Amino acid sequence: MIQRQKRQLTTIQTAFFTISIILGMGVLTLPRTITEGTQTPDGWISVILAGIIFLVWGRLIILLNRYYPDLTFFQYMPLILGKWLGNLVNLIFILYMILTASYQLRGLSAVTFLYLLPTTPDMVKILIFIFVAIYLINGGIIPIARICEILLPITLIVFAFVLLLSFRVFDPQHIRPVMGLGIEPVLKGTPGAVLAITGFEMMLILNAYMEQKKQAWKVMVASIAIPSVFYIVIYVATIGGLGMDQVLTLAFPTLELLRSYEITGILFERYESFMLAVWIMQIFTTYVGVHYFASLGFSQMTGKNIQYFIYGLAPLHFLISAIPNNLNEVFKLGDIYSCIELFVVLVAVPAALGVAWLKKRLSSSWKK
Amino acid sequence: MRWFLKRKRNIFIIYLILSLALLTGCWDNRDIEEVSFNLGIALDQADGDIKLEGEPPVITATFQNLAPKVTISGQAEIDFDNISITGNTISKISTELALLNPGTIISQHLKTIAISENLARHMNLENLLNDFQRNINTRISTNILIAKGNAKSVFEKNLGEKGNAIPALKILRIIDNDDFSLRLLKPATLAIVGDRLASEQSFLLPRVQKKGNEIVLEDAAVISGKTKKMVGLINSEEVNGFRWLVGKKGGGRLNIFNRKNNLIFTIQIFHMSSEIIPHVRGNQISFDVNVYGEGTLIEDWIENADAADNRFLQKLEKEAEQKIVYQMRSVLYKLQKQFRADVVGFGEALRIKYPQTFQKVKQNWDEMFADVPIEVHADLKIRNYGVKIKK
Repeated sequence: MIQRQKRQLTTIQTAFFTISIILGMGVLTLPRTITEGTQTPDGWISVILAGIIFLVWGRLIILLNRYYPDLTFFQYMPLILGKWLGNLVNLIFILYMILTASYQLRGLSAVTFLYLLPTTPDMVKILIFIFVAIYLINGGIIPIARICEILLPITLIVFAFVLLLSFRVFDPQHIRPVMGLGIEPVLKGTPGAVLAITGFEMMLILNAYMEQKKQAWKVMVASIAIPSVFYIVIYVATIGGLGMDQVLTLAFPTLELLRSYEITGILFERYESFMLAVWIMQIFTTYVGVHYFASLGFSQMTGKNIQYFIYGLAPLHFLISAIPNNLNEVFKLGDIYSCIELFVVLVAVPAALGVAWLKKRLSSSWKK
Repeated sequence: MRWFLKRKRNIFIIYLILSLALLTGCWDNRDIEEVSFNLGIALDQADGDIKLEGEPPVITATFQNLAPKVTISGQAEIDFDNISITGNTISKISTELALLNPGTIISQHLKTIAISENLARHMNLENLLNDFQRNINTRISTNILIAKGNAKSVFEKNLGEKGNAIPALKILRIIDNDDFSLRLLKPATLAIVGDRLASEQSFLLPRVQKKGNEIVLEDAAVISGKTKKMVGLINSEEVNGFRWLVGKKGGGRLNIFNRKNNLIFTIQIFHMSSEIIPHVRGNQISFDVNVYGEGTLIEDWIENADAADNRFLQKLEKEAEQKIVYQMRSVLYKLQKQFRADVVGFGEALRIKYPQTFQKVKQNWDEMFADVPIEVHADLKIRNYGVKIKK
């Protein structure tokens, strides 16, 4: 009973939390964004490559966390880089999360406008979404992790089911040959794949809440590998079903794949609504996660109550989500926040790790 | 529970909650009798008589809408209406449709788009079908066909016909026989057509026509990937050859009618496959096609036929193989020399085996295809002969 009172996450909860944050808008656009880079059907190799690259940086994140196992990124950054620089990095990280949250909101309203609720005003959709999210976020990190624990398996099962059904339109010709034009197209596709796996760096924060910190590396591997496999399946199914050249002409290829076949004989003929339902759940968990962490970041930087920031950030997300004029600018917003994320992961984390290592080295040599 | 129901106020509260569930109906509801389900669209070249807003009319679209009627006995009877409208783009026509159709039109269940030959020959299919691809209200699982003569006539009601056959759906049910007849082509959905158009590959569309009072699926239209227009027709015999070349799952009947050698028999094919092997030597591209089939002897008019004798079966196999090779040669001749359109997928085979070479010839592949040497080989095995061994 006493154990329950602890504000700590189990290993599985942590992994599901990170995976839920990773899966978001990318699920629907990934086949196109990668193929735009490769121009060949080799995108699935790009996903593997991106996964491997991120495993390396994931290892750096784990190493950095080991210096301050009980502190979050926001708390130890000022300790490592000094108050000003550390808080600057924190602010950049929070900016990334605010933009992510706004992007999810806008993506949600754009997709539901097209496929699900054409007459419902965007504002209504977004506001209801935010209100439900705030209700959950107020409960703290444990309820959020539990929601992820419930929703993620449902998502994976439904996705696996609808993608299996798409096998009837699958044409293996479409995904061959493997690396016909060499390795160059694969490398060109990697940035698109990298952008889709953003979110694994939430381990910078989640590590502090883990019950068994020794399992952190396992969580990291799982939270990069599972989305990668998931993306590979989506990519192969979509390219195999619709053909590479057509995928390049579609805004949301994964959904179009489900609209390209009808199953007669079982209860339902069309499956895109199932996919959309669970996809909205994933958008929700992504939004809740980044909203909570952004609020947490502000609260840990300023030492004020987190509630101020939870309520304060909500209108900000709403306003930013209204900025893009059309779908192109929405996708651009996605690129922008991914670049900020890459800065945090690729530049700030190794720098902080280096400084932390040096500091420890120096302090231990002084002791001698 | 009892103590709870004893108080009158509690019962009232339960009543209120229940009425909440019952009274809040579907505020977005539409009676099914009042909406028109659009099941098929026939696209024809406009006659030129009707003019809209001074612009030259280009397309006449005929919408086949489901119109359920309730008879006096109370039974619902399925019926349909055809509405023809002329305009210059698809969306303009649908706007016109809204002006004259009572009730909302729901095109979520659109199954068939029939394009008349005339229109397909003159209009870029990518433009013609763009509205259906872009629009979220139509699915890309919609089937596309070419219609001989007037596409509208295919959708017309037969006065003598009993029952409730809706032409737009009937066509698709005929295509379901494609494992029974080698002359039928699998339907091409908008997704497949979109793929071919985007990758500039030529492709075949099944052709439908009205013969007397019947809807008949015969021949196939060749659509060029470059111009995105229809370039010609191949006849049913050549569709046979095409299906052997492609070798997709399925089957059908192979009829051999050789009067000279007195070999008249039919083989039901239950398995067919093909392998296209590209060869590149220097600048020279060539192809080998190996076709393999398995079937059952289902009918023969041969004197003293003895299926227990292997030599007899081998004779039939050889004769059938010659026929298959002949069918494939004839369709290849037409595709290469007459239409210059690679609808079989030789380009795809080259792309997969020799990606670098294909990258060089990709731009004018259809032109190159016309002069590429192709060798065809057929291998047919008669696995069964039914329950009758000899005459």
